Amino acid sequence: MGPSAASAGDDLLRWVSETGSGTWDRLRDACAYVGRKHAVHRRPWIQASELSALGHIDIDWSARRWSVAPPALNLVPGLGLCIVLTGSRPHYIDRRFDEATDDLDVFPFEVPQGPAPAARFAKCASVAAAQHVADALETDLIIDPARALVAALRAADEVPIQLVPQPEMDEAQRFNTETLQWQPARTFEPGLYRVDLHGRPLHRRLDESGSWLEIDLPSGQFLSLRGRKEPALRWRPASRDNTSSPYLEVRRELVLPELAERAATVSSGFLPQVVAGWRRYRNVPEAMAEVIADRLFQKLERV
Amino acid sequence: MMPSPMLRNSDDPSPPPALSYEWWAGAIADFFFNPSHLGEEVLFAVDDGTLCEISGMEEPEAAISLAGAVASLVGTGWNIDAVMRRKSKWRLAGSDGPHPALPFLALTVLAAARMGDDAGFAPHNYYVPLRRLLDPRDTRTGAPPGFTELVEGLWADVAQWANDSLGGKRGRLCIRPVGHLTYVGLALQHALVRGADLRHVDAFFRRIGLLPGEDVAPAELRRSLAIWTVGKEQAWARRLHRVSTSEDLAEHCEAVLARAARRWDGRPRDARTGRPVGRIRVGIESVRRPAIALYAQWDERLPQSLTTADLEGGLPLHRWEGWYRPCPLPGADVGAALRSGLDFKAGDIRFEFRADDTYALAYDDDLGAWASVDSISYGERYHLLVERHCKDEVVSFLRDEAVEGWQVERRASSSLPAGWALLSGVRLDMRPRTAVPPALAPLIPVARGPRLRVIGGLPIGAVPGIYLRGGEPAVSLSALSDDDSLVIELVGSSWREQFVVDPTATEEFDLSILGLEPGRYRIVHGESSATIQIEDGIRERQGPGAGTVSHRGRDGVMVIGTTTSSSPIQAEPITVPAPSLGDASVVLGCSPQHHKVVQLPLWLEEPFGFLPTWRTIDAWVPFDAAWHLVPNRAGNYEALLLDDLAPEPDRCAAGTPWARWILRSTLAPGQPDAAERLWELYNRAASNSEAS
Repeated sequence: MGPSAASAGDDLLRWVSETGSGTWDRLRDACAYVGRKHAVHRRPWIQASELSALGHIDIDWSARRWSVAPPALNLVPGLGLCIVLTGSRPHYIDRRFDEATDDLDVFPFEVPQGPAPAARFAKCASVAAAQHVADALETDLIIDPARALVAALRAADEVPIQLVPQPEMDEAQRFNTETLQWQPARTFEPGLYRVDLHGRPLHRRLDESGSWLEIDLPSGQFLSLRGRKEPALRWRPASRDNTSSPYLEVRRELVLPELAERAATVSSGFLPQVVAGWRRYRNVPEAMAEVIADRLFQKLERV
Repeated sequence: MMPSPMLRNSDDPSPPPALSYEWWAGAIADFFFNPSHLGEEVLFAVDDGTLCEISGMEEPEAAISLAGAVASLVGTGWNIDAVMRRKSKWRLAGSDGPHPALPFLALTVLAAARMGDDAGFAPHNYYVPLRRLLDPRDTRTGAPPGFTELVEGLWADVAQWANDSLGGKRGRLCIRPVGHLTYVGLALQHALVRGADLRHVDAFFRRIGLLPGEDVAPAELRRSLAIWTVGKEQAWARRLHRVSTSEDLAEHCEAVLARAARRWDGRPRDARTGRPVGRIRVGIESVRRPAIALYAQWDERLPQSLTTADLEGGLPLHRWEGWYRPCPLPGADVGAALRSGLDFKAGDIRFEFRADDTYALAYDDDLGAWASVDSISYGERYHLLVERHCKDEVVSFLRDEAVEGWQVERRASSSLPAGWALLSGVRLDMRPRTAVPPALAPLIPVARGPRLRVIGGLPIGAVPGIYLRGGEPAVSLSALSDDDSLVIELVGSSWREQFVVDPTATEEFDLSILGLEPGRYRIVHGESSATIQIEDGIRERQGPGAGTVSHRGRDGVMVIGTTTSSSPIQAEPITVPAPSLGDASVVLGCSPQHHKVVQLPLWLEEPFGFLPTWRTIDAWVPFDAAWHLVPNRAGNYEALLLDDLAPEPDRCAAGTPWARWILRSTLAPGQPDAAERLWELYNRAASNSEAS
């Protein structure tokens, strides 16, 4: 019988893996199907964003297209030789993964993540054993992927922008840098604005010179928060006995750029937890947290 | 292609040119028997509208012209032998060019098309219009002289020409016995539906949820057509209903529908000529100022540029992205189009707009406007243009099913054609659980239809009907049947399950709750059935197009998944024996800056739900490792040689953890002699640095 323990995210991941690529419309319909089947009431873009954060798919929101990433094994510092499977995960990859890890030196297991896809790991006895699994699966063994992802992260002011017309005030909402909430715009002052253009939220930045710029949400939010007193990002070291990992926390109202989100997520193989208004990404080393904060023009608070 | 008399100046007040019998033979052959029908059955559906399309003339000129051409050959005395003689001459000359009986037979079909819509099929109802086509003053009711002797032979000869001489390359003509309707039936079967009626086949296929390429029994299509058209009052629906319910015409009707279904790619196509039909959409630029307009949509079946004489007296259309410019179409009466549809011809392509009760408008980036679409997707926002008499049922449905935020745009009423309302911001996130009102049924792929319908699910692969295991679709029960059982069979096996359903209450049956094993299943409700295949998967690694979307990072680095195009930035970790629970080991390099404490990641117990055991572990050291310091049972650290590297102490080594770890450790027993000498050097370096 069917994989009854599969979550909505597992079903969706298997479908994107089989389908390979497509339009946002098709992915959205698949999200609607798994949401209904599993009685999970979540917006399609949230489900899709989770697959992206976990390194399974890449989404071009402006072109409204997506594609699954080829399967990859990731060797991540701090996971004790537990390699993480990302990218495409169709039935036959899962089966080959099981075959490739059917070895005394390797122990495969997966960890459910609620409605999101289960995280798939294999604990290896050595780096050589991890490479052996990758060879058997004919995939790359990616060493410390988070570090490379963060190295590729562009600064918030490096993201391409273009001039756009001023939006209509009664359609615009302004990002409040104190409360981190959106509220109706009453006057146009420099900052980040959200306008609803035919059912799709678009983000606009009004700069000090009075120019209106098209901008993505993460860059817009973090540029607006530049110089804010209250920290938006914070980092805590591991406990002395390592029963608690180092972690990066981001205010839950804020959206990290895709590469930062993916780097922080793949550091543990898990989606972040939400703890007291903060999104907590586990096993993020301090150096990585510093780079993320630096590229987003934020001060990293140590707690 | 025969030149069309439409090319004459439309302002020319003179009578249309008399078109010869030969001209009509060629034009009719080109229209009905063309390469797009390769191997398929031709529907020789001649009616006034089709003759206008063929000739470019207006009604009733086109029919008068054809009748005149036939009269020029057979005279008003019905000398059908003249057609036979022309046919024989044509045969002797090598059967080159169009069959000479085509105009005559076209006239016989036109006569059948002119029988009253509700008239019976009795021959006396047929011969009157046939005779009056050649001579309006002819009041006789019987068959013209020689007609019953010769007409079947002419049909058979045309069929032989199409099927054998041309090898079916321009389509096949099938001669079927039509019940008791000798002589007349051959014309009737082609005339019972107008060419224009077949335009509704596209909407019919969409309504029954037919997938392009799906194999459906022709009898089921016919029965579904009968149900779909029942109760519809329009003339086209009555004709389609009659042809789909007449036992005499069942075979012919099924052949026509099967052909249309095989060709159907989700987009409209002319059932007579096989040519694509362009789509016209209705749209608005803004909810606030909903100036309603029509737009001609381009798709890859259509040319880049066209000209239509039907709008603005000669309007050139040029492709721009997914549309034709000018956008919107000038000179179109939108109100009239909403009420009764619209079509126009541009070159060989006919564009059409179907009148409906409700239009779903989605934002189109190319157009910069909200334009009508064929169906609603979940999670996307639409505006609905709704005919007033349907508004209440639509509003009631949206209250139950739509995400909050939609509203009736009362301010927009003054800008809309009379009798229409605009509902803005409508979004459905999931398949509705309540019954979809008829006005929305064509737009939402869920409502019960005449045919058992497969909906939703996670389809995979290029072939329709294959679903991922765990992504099984639901089936919408057939409205044709009040059977209270739904049967599911595993094709090729004896496995068969029967489920009790309440056809009056149950709209859908969700197959995903059954946990079906992979295999091919036939689902049957009443006389309607659907076949699906369930697979664990079909791709070895990933589906087509994997990795085609990427992210551009700093310095042009491309990222796909967790892979970056940049060169590796870190050496591989080394594998070392794992410390005991609660302990730590240390990896040392040859320089005082090179030391790394290694601990078990005990934090993993929380997310994993268990704590793995480790005999070995990875140590991520950004230096060449020389020693591994491991605690022994007494809690003292012992040094194990990893690599024979000489120490490189410097002045800053004093008090470094590197120095302290060396000084608090001893060489582990059993190390080679070289290790003993090297450990001595490290001790000396650590001691000296300590001393300094």
